[in-house]
Amino acid sequence: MEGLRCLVECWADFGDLLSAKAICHGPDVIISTGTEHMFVFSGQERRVKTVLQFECPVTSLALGGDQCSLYVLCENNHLYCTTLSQDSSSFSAEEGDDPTLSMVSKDSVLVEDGNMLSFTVAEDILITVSLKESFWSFQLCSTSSTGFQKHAGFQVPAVTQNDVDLQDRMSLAPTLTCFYPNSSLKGHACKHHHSLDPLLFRLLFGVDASLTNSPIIVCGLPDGRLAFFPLFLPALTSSRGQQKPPTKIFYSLEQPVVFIGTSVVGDQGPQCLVVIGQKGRILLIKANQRSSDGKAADCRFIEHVVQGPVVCACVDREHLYYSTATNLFCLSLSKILIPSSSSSSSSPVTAVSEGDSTIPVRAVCLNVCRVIALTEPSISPAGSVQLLAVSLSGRLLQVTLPQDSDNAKVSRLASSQAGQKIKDLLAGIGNVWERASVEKQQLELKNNTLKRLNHILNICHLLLNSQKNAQEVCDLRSPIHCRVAAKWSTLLQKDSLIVTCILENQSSCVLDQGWTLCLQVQSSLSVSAGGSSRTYSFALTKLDCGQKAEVTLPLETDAALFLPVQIHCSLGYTLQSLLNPEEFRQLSINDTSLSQLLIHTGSICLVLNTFTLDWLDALQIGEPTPNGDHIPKQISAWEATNMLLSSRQIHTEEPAMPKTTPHTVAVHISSEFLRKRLSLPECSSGLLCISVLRWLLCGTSNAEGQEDVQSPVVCARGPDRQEVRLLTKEVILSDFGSDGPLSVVEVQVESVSMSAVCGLHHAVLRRVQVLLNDASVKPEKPAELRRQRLCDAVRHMECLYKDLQDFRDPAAGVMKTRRTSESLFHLYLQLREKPLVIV
Amino acid sequence: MIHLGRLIAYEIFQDPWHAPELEKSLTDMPSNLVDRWAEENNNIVKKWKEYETHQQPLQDIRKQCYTECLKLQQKVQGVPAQTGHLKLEIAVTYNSLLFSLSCGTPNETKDYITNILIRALEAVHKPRQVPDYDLVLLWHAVLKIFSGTVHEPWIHKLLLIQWAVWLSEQRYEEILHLFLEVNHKKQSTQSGDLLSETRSLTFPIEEDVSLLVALATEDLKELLHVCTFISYGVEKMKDEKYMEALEALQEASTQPSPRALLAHVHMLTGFCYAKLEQPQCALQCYRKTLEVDFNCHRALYLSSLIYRQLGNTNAEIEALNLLHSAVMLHAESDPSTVPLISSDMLLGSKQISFICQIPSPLHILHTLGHRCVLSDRTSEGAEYYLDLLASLQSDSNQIPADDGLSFPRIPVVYLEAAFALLKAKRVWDALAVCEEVITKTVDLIPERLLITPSVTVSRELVPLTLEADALDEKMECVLWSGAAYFLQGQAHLQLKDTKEALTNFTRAINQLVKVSMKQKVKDPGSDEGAVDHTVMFLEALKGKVLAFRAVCFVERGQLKEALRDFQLSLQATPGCRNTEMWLVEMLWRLDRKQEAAAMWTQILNSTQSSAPVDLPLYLQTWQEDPTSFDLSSLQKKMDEFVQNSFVTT
Repeated sequence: MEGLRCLVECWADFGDLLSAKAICHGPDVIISTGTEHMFVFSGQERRVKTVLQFECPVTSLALGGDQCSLYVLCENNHLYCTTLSQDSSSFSAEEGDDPTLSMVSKDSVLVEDGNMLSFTVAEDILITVSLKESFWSFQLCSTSSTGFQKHAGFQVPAVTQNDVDLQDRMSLAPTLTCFYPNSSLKGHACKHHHSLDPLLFRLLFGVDASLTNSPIIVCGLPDGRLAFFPLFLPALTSSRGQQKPPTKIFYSLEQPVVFIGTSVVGDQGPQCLVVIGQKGRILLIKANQRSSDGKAADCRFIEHVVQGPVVCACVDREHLYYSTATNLFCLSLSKILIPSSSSSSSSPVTAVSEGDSTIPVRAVCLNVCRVIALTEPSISPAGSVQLLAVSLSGRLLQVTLPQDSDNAKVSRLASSQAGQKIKDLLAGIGNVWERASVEKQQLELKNNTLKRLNHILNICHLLLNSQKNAQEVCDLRSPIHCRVAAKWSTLLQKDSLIVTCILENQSSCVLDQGWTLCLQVQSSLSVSAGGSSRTYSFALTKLDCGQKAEVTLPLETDAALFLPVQIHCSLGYTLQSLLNPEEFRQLSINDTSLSQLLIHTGSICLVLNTFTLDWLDALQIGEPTPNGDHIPKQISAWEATNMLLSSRQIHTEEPAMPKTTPHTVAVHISSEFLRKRLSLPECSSGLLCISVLRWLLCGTSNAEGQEDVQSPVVCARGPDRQEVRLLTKEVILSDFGSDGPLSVVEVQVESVSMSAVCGLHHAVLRRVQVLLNDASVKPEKPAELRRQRLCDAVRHMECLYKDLQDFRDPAAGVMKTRRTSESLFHLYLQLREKPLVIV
Repeated sequence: MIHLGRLIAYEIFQDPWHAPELEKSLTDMPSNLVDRWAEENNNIVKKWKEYETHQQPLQDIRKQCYTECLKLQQKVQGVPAQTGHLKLEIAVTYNSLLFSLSCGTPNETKDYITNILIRALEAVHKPRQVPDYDLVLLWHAVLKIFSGTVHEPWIHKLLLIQWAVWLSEQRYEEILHLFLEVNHKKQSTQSGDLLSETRSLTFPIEEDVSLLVALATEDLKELLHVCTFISYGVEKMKDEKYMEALEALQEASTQPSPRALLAHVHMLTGFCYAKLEQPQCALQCYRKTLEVDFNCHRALYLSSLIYRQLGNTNAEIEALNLLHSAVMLHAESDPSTVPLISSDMLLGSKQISFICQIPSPLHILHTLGHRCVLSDRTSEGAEYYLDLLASLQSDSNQIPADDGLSFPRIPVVYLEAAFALLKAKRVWDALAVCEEVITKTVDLIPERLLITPSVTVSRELVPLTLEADALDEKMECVLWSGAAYFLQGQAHLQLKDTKEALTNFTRAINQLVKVSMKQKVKDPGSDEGAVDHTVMFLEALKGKVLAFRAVCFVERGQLKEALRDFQLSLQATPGCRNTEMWLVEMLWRLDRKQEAAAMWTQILNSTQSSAPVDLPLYLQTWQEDPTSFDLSSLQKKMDEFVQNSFVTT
C-alpha cells in the first residue's frame, strides 16, 4: 500500500494507556484515559485546562445536547453527569497555570444500574443499554430541567456467545448512535447530529419515523446485530392488531460493532450509513431510488473487508479513517460505492473485498502508529483534514492529512463575484487609507507643534534660569545675549549714529524661525519732558548654536537725541508663528479650540540685556583739529536759523546759544585705583593716560577703536555735530590725601556745546561708577583723606543743593523758564568748578 | 464499638490516646452531650421545615438533611446503647429513617431499622437471641420486651417506619403480623384480616416537644392507614376481586386523608363499580372524584370509557376534551414540592401507575378525532386530527410511555385525518395530507407483489427481522397509497373536478392491482391472519375506487367504461347493493334492457347480502357518497319494464 506522509503534531503526553476515548468540544478535547481522571485539553493553549476526577475508572463518555453537560459511565456502572464550564479558562488563564482539578462526587450520579454497558444522549434523553438475563434492555430517561424521569424501555433478546470473555468490557460494549432525518429542524441546528438522506432514512427505519421526523437510535450489539428504535414514536399497532415491537434488527454484521456513522455527503445529506465491525468488516448502506422500470426503492448493503482488528474509526465526507492497533488507514468510501452502484446484481447485499472487483479499492496507510482513539475529522483553515488521535503511548496527536490534489474543496466564487469583491475590498482599503492619512497628518502636525513649543520653552527656561543666576552672580553671562555698539555711518554724505546689536547664541538650543529680537530704545527723559521710547522688532531667521545675528537701527531721530539712552533687548515669540498659515488653517478646521488658544494667547517675551548708550559711546572720533573757531561740517537747522537771525539782529527768546568759548569740565580719578582696576600695573603715566582714554572710549574688551586712540588727546564729534576734546593727564594733588600727595588722572572734557560737556562728564562718571561697583575685584583700602577737604567739599555741595531746591518751587511758569535755566546753568558751572575726585 | 468510642472520645476530648480510660467515664453520659445532640437534631428538622414552608423546588436539601441526620445518628450510636438517651436515639433514627425513605434507599432503611432495634434491645441489656436479618422476629422480640415500658410509644414510632417500608413492597403478611403483635400483644394463631386489624389498630404514640421530628407521627400514621387500605384495594383489583377491593376502598374513604388520596379512593371505587357492571354508580363515583380533586385525570379518562360503553358519544367526547385540556395545562405547570413522605412512596410505582395512568395526549387526541368523525361532528374532528398531526411533528415530543396502549400506524393516522378533513369540506388540507402519505409510500411499492396465503408461522421465531415484515409492510404501503389516491379523488370530486378525480382514481387502481393473490380461494378453516385483513381492505378499497370511477365516467357520459368499472367493482366486492343497482342502471342506459331486467330480477331474488366488513375509518362510506343510488326511479322503471315484458311474452 502506498503510504501518505501526514503531519503529526504531538500536543500532550499522558503516559501509557490501555484504553482511551476522546471527544471534541469546540476547540477543546475531552480525553478519558481509562483511569479515574479525565482531562479537558484546550486546543488553543495546548495545555490541560481541567482535570475531572471520578471515583472509578471511566469507560465511556458523551456530551449532552446543550454541549455543556458531560455524561460519564464509570466501571462501577454509575452514570455521572457534570457540567463543563465553557469559558472558565478566560478568567484564570495564564501560561503555565496549573489545570483546575475538580472532583466529581457521588452527588452527580444519575443512574445506578449494575448492568449498564453503554449509553448515549440525544435531545435531552439518556438512552442506556444493559445486559440483564440474556436480554439487552434499552432504557430511555429524560434529563431535562424538570427532573430526571424514567420512560419506556425496550428489550431485545440476546444471542448467547460461548467464547466471549465477559471481563473484556471493550468488546462487550454496544455502540449507540442517533440519526436524524434530514428534513428535521432539530438535526440542522447542531452539526454534531448525524443526519441521513431522507430516502435511506425511510427505507431503513420505516414510514412512521419518516412521517413524524422522529430521531432513531441505532445500536450495534456485540454479537454483530444492528438494532434500531425510534425515539419519539408511540407504540404502534401492526396490521395484525398486535403491538409492533419498537425495536427492529436490520442487519447482522457477525462481528462486534466498533463504529456507526454516516458518510458520502450528497445534495440531500449523507447518502450512506457506515458500520464498522471489529474484525474489519465494513458495511455501507445506500438507498437506491425507484428505478424507471418500476422497481421499488430499496437499500443496498455493501460489504467491504479490510484487514482487522479495527480499534477505532471516524468518517468525514468521503473517507473512512480507521485504526488497527498498529496503523492508521484511510479508505475512500465514494470509490467503493461507485463501482457497486453500476453493478446490476439483484441481491441487495454486495460483498466487495480487496482484489475482487475491477478497480480494487485499497485503504491508504497514513503511517501513524498505535492509535486507539479518534475524534471527528475537522477541516483546518488551509483546507486539509485534521484528526485528533490518542495513541497507546498516551500521546494526543494532531494528524494533518496531505491535501488531495484532485479534491481541492476550496470554495470558488464566480469570476464576476470575485471581481466585484476585489473592487469592494480595494475601495474599502482606499477609504481607510485616506482617513488614516488625514489622521496621520493631523498627528504629525500636532507633534511638530509640540516639539517646537517644547523647544521654545527650553529656551525660555534657559534664559529665565540664567537671569535668576545672573541676579546672584553678576558676572555670569546668559548663553543667549546681545551686544550693543553705537557707531557712526555715512550714507549719502550724511553721517548718522546707528546702533548695532549683535545677538549671540551660545547655548545649545537652536533659535528657530519665529523669534523676534525686540530692541526698545528709551531715552532718559520721561515722556512728559519730551523723551520718547521706541521699540524696534527684528524677525530672526534661524540662529544656530554659536551663530550671531546682527541688526542695526538708527539712533538719531528728528528731534535732538538725548543721551544716554537705554536699550532693552528682548526676545519675543508669538505663538501663532508656531504654525504656518496652511497648517493653521488645517488645524483650525479640525480643532477650533486649539486655534482660538493660539490666537488669543499672545506671545512670549524674554528679556535679554539692557544697555545704556551714553555720550562716550556716541562720539565720532575724528582728526584732531585746533581749538578755536571752526566751521562745523554740518550745521543744524537751528544754528543756521540763529546765525541768520543774529546777523539780522533779530532778538529771539530762545534759550541761550551755546557760547563760543568752550567749557571745560574735569574729573580726577586716583591713578592707583585706575591702575588696579584696569589691570595696568607698571606703566608710565603717559601710557596710563592713553589707556584710560582708550578705556573710556572703547570699553575694556573690544579692540575696535583702540588704534584710533594714540595720544592722550582725542578730538571727536558728538551726536550734535559739535567738537569735543578729551584730554587725560596725570596730576598730583597735594592736599587731598592724608598720607601724601595723591596722583590722579585728570580727564578733561572740552567743548563748545554744553550738552556735550554735561553728557560726557556724566558718561565718564558712569564708567567710573561701573568700575567702582565691580565686585570681582577686591576693594582696596581707601586712601586716607584729609578731613578738611572732605568737609569743604560737602559744605559746598550742601549749599548748592539748597539753591537747587529753591528752583524746585512750584511757582514755575513759562516766564520763569529762562531765568530757571540760566540759574541752573550757573549752578552747574559752580558745581563743576572743582573737579570731582574719585579715589 | 471501640472504634466509635474512640471517635467520640476524640470528638469530646480531642485526644485519642486516652480513649481506654475515657471509655469508662463514658458510661455515665454527660448531660450536655445529650443536649447538644438534641439541639443538632432539632436544627436539622427546623431546616427541613423551613424548606417545606418556603417551597423552593430547585434546591433539594432532602439529601443534605439525610446525610446530616445520618452523621448525627452515627455519632449517637457511637455511644453504647442506654435507656437514658434511648428516646433521643430513637428520635434521631426516626428522622434519618424518614429521610432515607424519602430519598428512596430501601436497603439502607432496612439496615437502619435492624440496627436500631438491636440497639434498643441492647439498651435494656437483653442478649441478642434473634438473628439479625429476620426483621419479623426482631420486631416480635422488641415488642414483647418493650410492652408496657415507658419506651413503648417511642418504639411505635419505628414501627410506623417499618410499616411504611413493608407497605411500599406490598408485604401484607408481615404487616399483618406486626399489627397482630401490637393489637393483641400475643401470638394469635388466627390469621386476621388485614383490614380489620388495620381498622382496629391503636397504639399509643408519644411526642416529645424537645425532640423535633421531621414528620409528626400522627400524620404519618394517618397516611399509612389510608395508603394501606388503598394498596390492599388495588391489589385486589389487580386480582379482579372487586368486591373485596370495594370493601377496602370503603374503609379508605372513611379515613382522614389528603385530597389527592381521597380522589384516588373515589376513582378506584368507581373503577370497581365499572368492572362490576354498574356504570351509573361508577359515573357517580367519578363525579365525586372530580369534585374532590380535578387533577385526577384518570377519572376523566375512565368516565369517557364508560360513556363509550353506554354509547353516549357526546359525553364521551366532552370528557376526553376536558382530559386533553387538563393534561396540556398540567404539562405546562411547574411541579410543586413533594412532601417528605408522599403517597407515591408508600404505594409503590406499579400501583401508582395503575392508579394514575392515562393515555398520552396523542392517544387522547386520536380518540377524540375518531369519535368526532364517527359521530358526524366533522369540523371538530378535523380540528382534532390536525392538532394530532401537529403534535406528532412538534418539538416537544413525548417519549413513548410504558402504558400498554398502542397507537395506530402513522400513515393510517394521516389517512384518517384526510378523511376527517374531507368530511369537514376542507378539501385542500385533505389533499396536502394525502400527498404527504403518497410521497412517503409510493416508491416503496414494487411493480408486482405476490401474496401467498400465510402458513401460520410462529411469530416468536423471527419476530424482529426486517425481511419477515417487509411483505406486510409493502402491502400496507399499497393499501395506504391506494387509499390516499382514493381520498384525493374524492376531494377533487368535491371540487367538481371530474377529470382530476378520474386521474386519481386511476392511480389508486394502478397501485391496487399490483397485488396479486396466488391462491384466491379462502379456506373456511384457515386462520384469518393479518395478511387477510389487509387483503380484505384492499379488495374493499378496490371495489370502492372502481365504483367511484364509474360514477365519474357516468358524469362524463362514458357509459361503457362506467359499466365495465361497475362490473369490476362488483367482482371485488360481491353483494354490494349499490353497485348492483348502478349496474342495472347502466345496462338500461346502454339500451341493453333485457339484461337489465334479468339482473333486476336476480337482485330481487337474491338474499345474500355482503358480509359486513369492519372497514377502517378512512375507507368508510359517508352520506354524501356519490355512489349512493336513488332507488326509487330505477325501481319504477324496472317494474314497469318487467311488467311490460311479462305482458309481451
